[in-house]
Amino acid sequence: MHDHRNAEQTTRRNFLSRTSGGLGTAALLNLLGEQSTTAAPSATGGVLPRPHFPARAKRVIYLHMSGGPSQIETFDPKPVLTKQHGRPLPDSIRMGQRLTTMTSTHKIRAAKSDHKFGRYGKCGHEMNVLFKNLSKVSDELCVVRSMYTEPINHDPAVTFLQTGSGVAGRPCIGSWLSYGLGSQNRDLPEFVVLLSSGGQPVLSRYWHNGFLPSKHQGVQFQSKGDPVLFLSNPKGIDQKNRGQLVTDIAALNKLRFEKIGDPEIEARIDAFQLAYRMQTSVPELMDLSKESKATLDRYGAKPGASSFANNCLLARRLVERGVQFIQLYDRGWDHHGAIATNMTRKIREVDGPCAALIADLKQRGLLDDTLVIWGGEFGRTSYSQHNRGKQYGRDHHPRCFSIWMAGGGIKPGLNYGRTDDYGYNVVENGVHVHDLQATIMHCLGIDHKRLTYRFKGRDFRLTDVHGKVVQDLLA
Amino acid sequence: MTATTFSLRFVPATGNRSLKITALLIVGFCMSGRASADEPTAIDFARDIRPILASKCFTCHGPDAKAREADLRLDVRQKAIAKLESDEIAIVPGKPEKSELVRRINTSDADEQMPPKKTKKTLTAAEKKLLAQWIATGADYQIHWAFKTPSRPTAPKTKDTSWPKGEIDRFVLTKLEAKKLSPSKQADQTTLIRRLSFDLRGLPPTLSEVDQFTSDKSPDAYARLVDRMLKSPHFGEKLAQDWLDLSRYGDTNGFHNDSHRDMWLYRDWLIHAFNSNMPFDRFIIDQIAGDLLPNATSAQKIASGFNRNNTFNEEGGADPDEFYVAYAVDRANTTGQVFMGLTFGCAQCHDHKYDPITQREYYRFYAYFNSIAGEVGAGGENGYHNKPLPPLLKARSPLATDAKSAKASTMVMKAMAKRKPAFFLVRGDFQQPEGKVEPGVPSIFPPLLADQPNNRLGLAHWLVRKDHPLVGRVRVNHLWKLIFGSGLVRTAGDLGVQGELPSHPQLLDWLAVEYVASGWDTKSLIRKMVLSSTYRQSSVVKNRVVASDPYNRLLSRAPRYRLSAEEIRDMALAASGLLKRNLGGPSVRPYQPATFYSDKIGKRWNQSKGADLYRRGLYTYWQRTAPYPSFIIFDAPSREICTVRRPRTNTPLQALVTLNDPVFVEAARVLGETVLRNGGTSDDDRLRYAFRRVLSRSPSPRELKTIQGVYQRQKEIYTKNRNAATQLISNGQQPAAKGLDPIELAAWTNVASVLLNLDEAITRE
Repeated sequence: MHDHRNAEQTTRRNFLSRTSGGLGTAALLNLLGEQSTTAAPSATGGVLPRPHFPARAKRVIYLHMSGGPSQIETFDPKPVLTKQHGRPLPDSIRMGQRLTTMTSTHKIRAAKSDHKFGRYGKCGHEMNVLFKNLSKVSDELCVVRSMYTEPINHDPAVTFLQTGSGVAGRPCIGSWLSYGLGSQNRDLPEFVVLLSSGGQPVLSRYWHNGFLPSKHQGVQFQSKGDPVLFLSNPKGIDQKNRGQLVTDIAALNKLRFEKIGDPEIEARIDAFQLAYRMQTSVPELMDLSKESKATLDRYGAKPGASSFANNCLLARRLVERGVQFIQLYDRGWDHHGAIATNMTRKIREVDGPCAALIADLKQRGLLDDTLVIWGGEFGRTSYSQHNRGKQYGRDHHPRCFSIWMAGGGIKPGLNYGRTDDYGYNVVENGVHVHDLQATIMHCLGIDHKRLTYRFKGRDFRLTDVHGKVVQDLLA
Repeated sequence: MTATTFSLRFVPATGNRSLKITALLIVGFCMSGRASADEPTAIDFARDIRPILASKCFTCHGPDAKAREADLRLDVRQKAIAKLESDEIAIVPGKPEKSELVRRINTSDADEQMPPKKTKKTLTAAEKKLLAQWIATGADYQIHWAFKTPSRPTAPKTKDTSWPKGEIDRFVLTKLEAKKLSPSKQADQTTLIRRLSFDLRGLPPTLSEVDQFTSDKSPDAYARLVDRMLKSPHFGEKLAQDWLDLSRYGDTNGFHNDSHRDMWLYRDWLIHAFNSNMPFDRFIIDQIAGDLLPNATSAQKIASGFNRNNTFNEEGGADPDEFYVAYAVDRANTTGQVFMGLTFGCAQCHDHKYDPITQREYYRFYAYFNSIAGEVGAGGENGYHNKPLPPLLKARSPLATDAKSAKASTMVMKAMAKRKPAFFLVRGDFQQPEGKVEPGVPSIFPPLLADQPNNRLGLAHWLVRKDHPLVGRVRVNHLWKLIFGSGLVRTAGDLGVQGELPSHPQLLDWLAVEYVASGWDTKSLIRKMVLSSTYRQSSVVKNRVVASDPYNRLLSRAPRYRLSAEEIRDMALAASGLLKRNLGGPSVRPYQPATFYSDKIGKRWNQSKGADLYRRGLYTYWQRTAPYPSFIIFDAPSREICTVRRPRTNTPLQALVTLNDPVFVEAARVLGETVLRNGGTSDDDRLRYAFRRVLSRSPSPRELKTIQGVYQRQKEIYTKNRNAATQLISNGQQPAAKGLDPIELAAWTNVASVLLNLDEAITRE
């Protein structure tokens, strides 16, 4: 199914195929005058009957650092900046590229990093020494220093990373995967979003289905209140009575179906049953109290808290239950001022949970087919941004930034791509955001050019009309 | 035409992968897609050939000059039959054996084969045969149907002359008869009034309206009902609801911090315009160029807010030049989409791949929208907070009946004193301007009117030219979609080459010509639609579905579909008696989960109080980056961009809304109170009353028996647990009615909740 014209029917078909409503499928087939043997929708309800090629990863955990962490303070040390500190950035480096209006009127002076770096693991990845735990799993990581993107502001840049376009309206990666691959789980959604910390706004558009049917939208699991919107019964209705009422609703709907014969009614009965099951499965999932103390300590997670650490642990629990795409947003990485102290704080916050996640997945045999990605929407400038005499920060910089990946068919221990001595331009093996998207799809067994959706007369895809799989990154 | 060629002919438009999926889908595509119900007698370019060329050839041999290979274009006959540099001729009319195209699509030489292997596109044997046959019969080209000014077709004569009530029915029945199908019987009275009430007011009928109509035995009872509904002030709300999606209305700026904006006067203007049946040409002119009209009234200036509804980026460091272009692009795309049903935006980076709009023409169209005062402010010291400073108008709501009512602000359009030049942008990149362009309309269309200025006002007058091929068709198609669930052209946002063909092309043209000739009289057009026998059919699916029309494109029954997000809310509030029916005013903030909003935006949702909690859905505050959750779950768009069609999905998250959202929990309890107060004294009377308040009709004996069981079980549960009963009836801001037994009320609350959660409750039958 690659056509919006049958969107309603797609939804119906996918939905039926992933729920217990075998009768619904049969009824639909009869309706269309088809023999049930001719139609065999993929077992998961995705539009792809099978992957385009063998998938190395079955699931993705995307750890998005919202705001744009500095590459110069994390994985791409630049000693030259220390020597050149305070001097104008050479024109040969700047090459007249555009700046944000926050610094376009400033004097452009090189700014050193106050942080120390070390080399870790057999592979010798360089990283900030503050990554005390992550450095211990260094050999599991593939660090890409040559990422680049196009937008220069947060909202369009995150939108670009998620949807392949900086303009709102297209489906995000998780929605594409849900559309293509369907679900591996009967009791949970296939695409889950978790947020932590205050800071940059995180817009629900970032996990929106765009023009795909809304069943492919990411479902935000909240750490406060209902984990899924409207999951809890109102005061005065317990789960047993809810089961009774859902049964009653189904009984009346069945009477209606007998009279009207619209399979949509049966799909509705199934939807209510899945909703009822989610009322049990989701709280069970979100309850960290059954995790061992050792595990909680390793992540730094505390049952009931709303933290990146908790979300990393939840990501592992979601992976165990077959959820396909888990998108974390951690906020507070937009360091226009005081980059030295801010980065110290943020690195300490995420270091432990990230390392614990990788080690935990590995120990449980899940890392091989789970792709973990860490990174922001762009990098930061190698020149300083001053805010009224305070410690300097760095402005947005789309020309280069660093990310790391682990597991799921990515080459561990690889350090890929190179930036110039100032950490301003990519000089070797650039990886555009569309290339990253194509590569993620590839790990999941999808040819990014062949998962398309007809909308407004055009076949759209995640990577627009661009993107190439970065073969060098593949294990 | 046989079934085999039928399906094979269709495949090109969707790609050969669909073949692999299931036979089921192929049938679906065929029936719903290219298969216009006109029986083909000969090869028809638009229906048979153009889709093949468009999907398999135009990418390299189409309108886009930059992507063109071998200097061959196949979308224009003159070029397709001309001698190429290679001395070959792609198409020699009447002589397929001499046509290079035929040789290339049939060759087994991988270097010469068309389409080339790397495109991953292939032609089926049937397609190759069709192309050869078409060339053999003269390779006749036609302009795409939608670019030709429609002429008024004569409604055909039908075999059955008793069923048709007017032209609409004659067009519809002709197709049914050709397929040897018959229409469904008329729906019963309660179904009709409920359907009509949702379609014309977005609300269920009240019980007294139902009783009045079902007891009225006069022959014109239905026609008078239609007139009452058309006169209802809620008619304007229903049409405005749809227009808010088209005009991408929001109460916030849409980017990043997503701050508040004052725009609700524009929403009120829409309601007023629809209620007063403003001619649609006026409606267009006021919205596109209200500010440019001589002695523009404040209502006309408010209407010009249509072009201020686009999102603004206030993010620190946003580049004004970049967003300046983005706003004009959004306006050009929205105008092309809303009024002309075209995917203009495709020509922003290159010539349109399918429709005859070049990239240069795109930027000429864009030039009508780029010289607008007050787009994005200059920014502060560090460039933070680029607050847009558009001109604001202080005015009263067009719905205000009292000259003393308070004034409010709204954003309006204003042209720059000195026109800002527009540039052709290479690959759509604002950093690559290449030569100035003057405003203008694409050459495929009739020209601007000579007596009008070449600005937005001239553009508005051009859109409403009587011979504009698209504007009338697009609007009647939208209105058909509102009344029949989907358009005659199902791809209502794309009437271009890649869009679907109309299911009833002649009916579409007839409606369009009638509409324009009537002075763009919207109410009269809708009246014609709902008075038709086609509209009045039963929607029962059982025994009606036939293999040749599984998706009911031929309308052998009335369509049956889920209500919109806002209608579902309004239905529950109306059934309970909580709904406040006053029109217009500032947007309100009903219940929302505590952290949903603050988690994302970092601001508090200042929940409304009292009556404002129970307003209709269309007055809900539209926070574009964190839209009202229960609406989004029911497929409402975020309104960051223009939306022509909402999908209709059926998901578990929707079940959680109607079961547990405080709006629905409170509505169930208040409906329980209403039943206890007004539903009679016996349990059965009360059950029937509750049932009718939600579904308008009375329960069947089996249904009654089932809800009797619900009531008895719930009463038992709460008798055993009085505490739970007290808790249940305390949900919601409105305190529980005094003097009612908590156990009794709790049981009735859950009976009401069961009814509000039925498929039928949220369905337009």
